[in-house]
Amino acid sequence: MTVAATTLKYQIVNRRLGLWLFMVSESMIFLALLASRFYMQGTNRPAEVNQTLGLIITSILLLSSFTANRAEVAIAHGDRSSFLRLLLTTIGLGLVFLAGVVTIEWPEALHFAPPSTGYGTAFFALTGMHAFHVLTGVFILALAFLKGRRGGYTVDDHWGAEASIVYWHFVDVIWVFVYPTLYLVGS
Amino acid sequence: MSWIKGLLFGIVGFVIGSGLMLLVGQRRASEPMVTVGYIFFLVAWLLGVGVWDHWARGWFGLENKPTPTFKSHGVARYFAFSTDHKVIGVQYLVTFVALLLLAGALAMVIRLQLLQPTGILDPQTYNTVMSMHGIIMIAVAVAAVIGSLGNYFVPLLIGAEDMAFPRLNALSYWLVPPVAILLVVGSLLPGGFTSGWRVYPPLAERGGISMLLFLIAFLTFGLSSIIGGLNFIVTIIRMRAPGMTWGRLPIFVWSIFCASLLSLIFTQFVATALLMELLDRVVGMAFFAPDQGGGAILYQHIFWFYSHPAVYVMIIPGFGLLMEIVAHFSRKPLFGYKYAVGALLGIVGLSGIVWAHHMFTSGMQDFLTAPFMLSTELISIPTGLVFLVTLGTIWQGKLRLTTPMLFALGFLFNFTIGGLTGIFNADAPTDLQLHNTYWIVGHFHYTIMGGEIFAFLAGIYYWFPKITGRLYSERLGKLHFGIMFVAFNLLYAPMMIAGLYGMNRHVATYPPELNGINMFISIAGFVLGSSFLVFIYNMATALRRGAVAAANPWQLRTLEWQTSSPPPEHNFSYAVRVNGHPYDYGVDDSTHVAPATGAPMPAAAPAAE
Amino acid sequence: MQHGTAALLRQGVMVFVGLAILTALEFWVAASHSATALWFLALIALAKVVVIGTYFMHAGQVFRGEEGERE
Repeated sequence: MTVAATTLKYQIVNRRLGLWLFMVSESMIFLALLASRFYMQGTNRPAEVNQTLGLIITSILLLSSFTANRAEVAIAHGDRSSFLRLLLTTIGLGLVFLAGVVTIEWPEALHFAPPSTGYGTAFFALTGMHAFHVLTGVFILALAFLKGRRGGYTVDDHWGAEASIVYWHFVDVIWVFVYPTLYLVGS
Repeated sequence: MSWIKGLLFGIVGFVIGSGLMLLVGQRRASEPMVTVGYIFFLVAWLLGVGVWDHWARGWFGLENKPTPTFKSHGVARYFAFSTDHKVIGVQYLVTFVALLLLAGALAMVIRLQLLQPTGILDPQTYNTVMSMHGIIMIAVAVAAVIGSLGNYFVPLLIGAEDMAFPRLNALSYWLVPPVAILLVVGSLLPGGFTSGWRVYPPLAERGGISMLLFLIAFLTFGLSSIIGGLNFIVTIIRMRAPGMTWGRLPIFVWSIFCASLLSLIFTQFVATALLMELLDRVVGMAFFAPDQGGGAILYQHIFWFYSHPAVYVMIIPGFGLLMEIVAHFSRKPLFGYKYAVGALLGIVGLSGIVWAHHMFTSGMQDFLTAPFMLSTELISIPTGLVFLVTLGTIWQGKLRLTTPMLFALGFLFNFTIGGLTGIFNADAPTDLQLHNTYWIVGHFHYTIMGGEIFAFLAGIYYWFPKITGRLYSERLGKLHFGIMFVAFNLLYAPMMIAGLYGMNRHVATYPPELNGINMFISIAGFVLGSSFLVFIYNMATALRRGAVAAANPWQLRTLEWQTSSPPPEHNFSYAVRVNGHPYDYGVDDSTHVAPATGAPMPAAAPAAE
Repeated sequence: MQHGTAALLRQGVMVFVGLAILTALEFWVAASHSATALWFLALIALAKVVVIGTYFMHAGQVFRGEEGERE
């Protein structure tokens, strides 16, 4: 087997497998943090947690997953302008989510659950780790956007776009667990 | 040169990162400043060594520069961001043999200290030496076999031309030097390391800035390990040559696959545990502060959830090498190949449910003791299968007692003792007595040093002709084995006895009545250390003026021997097609590699039987 | 637009609506303060992950190598 004999499609399947293994590995970080939250605090939750904000940012992330999916369908069928528009929307929603967590939620939480308390530790560690993944996701989506604008993706080869969007869904999957663990369980 | 450029970039990165933290009002040499400075250092280092030139330019629409090859760089490619798995394998090999010798030298210092109860070092320095020895040896044990021999030989053994992700492979190697730099810098800073390699809180959270460096070094190493594991899994699943079915995979490849699964999944837990300590230290969180709502032994749970599987990351490739070498040098098919694979997978399956046997004395809930005792002892079943397979292969074989074979047989002997003494640690009633004594130290070294490091040396002797194209002196190799094997047993068996008498580990001194046995242990230790001089001399002279090795000096069947020594740039000069089992020695009409069409296979001498 | 695109886009809408309903259900379960809320929340989270993994992340493609078989 030589480099030439390894088709592009074959390599894309390799990369897809690699991406999934990476995501499996990354979810272990969150598994450990989620388990620690229950180990340290059980289902204990301060009453001051901002439920409205929690629901709003969750919906924003869900919406961004939806636009990301549409962007992927668009580029897979060669519709570059829709792809770029939808990807930009996704990035925007991601930034809104980040702003919601970092500029509204964190200052509030500092009052009723500072990081030096049990719940605060779990809260800041989980949302912080997730926000870090959102940030990297936004960065990768931005790279995909730039490459898409240069015309770097075709119907057959749009792996970069696919990977960044799958990773974005992964960020959403993590929030699916983080949200109920921090906002909904217990009383 | 990648190293110089990386260091320059890294230093500039550190200045930028720590400068930013100073600008936002952090104190000089404060924890946030050092942490952020290091993150910038690491990113800049990676960009400098070649990630930017050969990889990241593509992200921004620029043309990537070609990676160094033999043609473009010659020997200098070993110091550059090469993506050839053979170059990376040699980089790993040299780096980790050097680390092995460094940590071995630290072990000599430990034994020098323990010659007399009074010692030569103050306890603080002793702790630093002991922690350095621990963490470097752990890194060696985790990455030496996988990173060097795995990298070099897995693609060869499966008939691939390279790993699935060559650049990722280079990245996982270039994450290692910062670890070594951090550890060396940290150990020299005042305060040193206090807590041993396991970095238990609260000690690790209260130590000085050098403990912070220790934590981020460990974290970086974890990252390298995860990336490497991911790459091996994709390579083994996707890059096998036509005909190389799962049932024909050489057992060493299976072992790397299993170890990679473990490091992919479990390393994240130790990374998280270390990250939690960092968060506790740097931002003042309360993960491990029970008085503030944290968990007192939470760290131990997460840490051992990784660190027990980690010993299988260390030993499974050792098992793989053991079975590989024993099958080849017994000139017999591997006995019970399917059981061997099942045993390795069984170890992988069980490894995640045994961690709390490290914690019988930690004060965890009592009801956890019995289940973890049971699950731990269950692991002896797949491990026993590995031994059954090995012994069944040796049975009535035409044994060739070459140096690698001797090391493999030494492994078999040592690990038997290591395994049997482990039963007493798995049983809670005896463990309560034995925990934290030199019994544990002896047991652990019997398994990992007597097991994996023996296997590592066996692997080096086994593949040295392939890697370098030179033959070493068999006589010196056997001398190395003889000294090392005898000294090893005279070192660690008495250590377990000292432990039974109650000698505590991790302590710079001991009761005076144990002086005699400690002197004996120390002298055996110095002899063991000196055996490595024979090893280095043998390798160095072989490299300079050893006889030229044939493509297949031992007439073996597996794929790596069916190409030149050392292999050409893309490994095989012909299209590999596998049509039989790798170990069917003496089986009529059985071949492993189909006769090539087109370019001829390198001529192999007729088997000398 | 081609037929395939329209079907895929419609599927995306359905998945999005389904996830929104599950999220609302999650919020309602938590607000009910029942003793079994924790288990329901875990179940709903798992359901959401299965839906996202199957339809948005195309988990089924990971081991589907035949389209990319090497020659």
